[in-house]
Amino acid sequence: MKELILKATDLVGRTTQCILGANIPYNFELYAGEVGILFSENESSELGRLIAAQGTIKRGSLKYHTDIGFNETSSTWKQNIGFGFREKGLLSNLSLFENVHLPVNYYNADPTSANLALKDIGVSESLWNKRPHQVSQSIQKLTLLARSIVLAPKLLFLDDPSALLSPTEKKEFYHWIQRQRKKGLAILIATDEIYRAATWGDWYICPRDHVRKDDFKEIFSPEQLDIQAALKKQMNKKDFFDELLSS
Amino acid sequence: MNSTKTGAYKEFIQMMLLQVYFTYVQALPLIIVSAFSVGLACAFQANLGLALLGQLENLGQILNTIIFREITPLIVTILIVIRSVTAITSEIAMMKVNREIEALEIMGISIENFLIRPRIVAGSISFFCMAITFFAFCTLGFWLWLNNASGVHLSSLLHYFFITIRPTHVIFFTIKTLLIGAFIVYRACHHGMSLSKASFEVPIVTNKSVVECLILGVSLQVAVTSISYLLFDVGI
Repeated sequence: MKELILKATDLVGRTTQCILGANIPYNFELYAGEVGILFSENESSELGRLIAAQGTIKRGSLKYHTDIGFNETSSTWKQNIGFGFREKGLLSNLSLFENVHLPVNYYNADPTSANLALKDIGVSESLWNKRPHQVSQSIQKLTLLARSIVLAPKLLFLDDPSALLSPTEKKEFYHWIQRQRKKGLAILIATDEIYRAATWGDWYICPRDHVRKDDFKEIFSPEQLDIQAALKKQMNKKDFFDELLSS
Repeated sequence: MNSTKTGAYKEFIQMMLLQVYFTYVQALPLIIVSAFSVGLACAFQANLGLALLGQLENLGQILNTIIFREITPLIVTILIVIRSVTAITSEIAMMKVNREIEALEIMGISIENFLIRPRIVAGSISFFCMAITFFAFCTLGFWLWLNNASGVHLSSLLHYFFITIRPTHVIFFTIKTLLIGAFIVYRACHHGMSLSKASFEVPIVTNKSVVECLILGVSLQVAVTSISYLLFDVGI
């Protein structure tokens, strides 16, 4: 039986940017090893902030798994939630490695986890000592993703994770998501790449009623489902460049 | 939980030492040059007046009352506002614009313990060290001019100085420097954090921070000096 990691019931909240669910409250359950998709509305990335307690719940509730150890008076429980920013968010005076290693140092976690996280996402070791402004936006993005999982969280929220990534990196990201899912992470992704999102996700939150829907057929036409299936197939096979290089 | 505290403590110490390096060590050339110039200028004025009156033994009093207790904290306040307040305010403001502060908060890293408190402690320590360094080089400049103009030996100058100085002078000097350093940096951090999220606000908050910290630094100096003179009779 899968563990319930996060449950939103009639959730209405406020962050610094907007009020979430003001018209339609959120209702969903996220289990371990699942990937849920939030199709991009203005407020979808703000839901992640609300989950990370960067806002206030106005109505309804947000219940976390007991292992996350939610505590209103302390912030150390946040180490059990990973948050992947869309862009920005890396400390500009630290190198890429130091950025990923910072939470490890702060929480006295396993010192090798920063190396593993950076290697796993595919950031070349030659770039680890560079500062964020010295690398491309896609490398910054990969570093943000590496930092989001460095403390082995139970719950991961990713804000538009494939934005700024090249096609090859997007493919790598697909496999990275699958690895995180296998580890048992519960993942919520806010994105506007609907076809790709359907390849990553198990379910989505319908923008119409903010309720979990398990079947993508409800929003895709047969033609769109064909595109989604083709994209998924492409993710699992060598692409044109890979084939060219290997031949 | 304990391991988290240890990690947070290590980060605090590391950040504090880094800030002492930025605030004090990197400011050393500026402190030395300005202290030496102030020392020469004070000696020129003091020598001119006292030599006419034949009261060179009062040089120790001038070194204590004017340079040690008043000029040193005042000029170090100006130096720290020029160098560090601008740097701290704009750095924290830019961190806010670039969502670095938000990233720290989301990771559960305490902004107070990671960003603010290390800077306040470092500001306090650096101000004290800057004041000591400033006074040392100011004394050197003071003596060099006097030695050149009136042949005053360093040992005599120090002798006159140590005759006039009292433990209460040192205590108030320490309180004054530690207090002003901490308050100035606290206000600089506060101004940096007050920025909402737009980069056009960075020069505005930096400007406000500099003006306020300068006024605050001078006011604190006047307040501590007044307290020392009025309540504890730490006068001449």
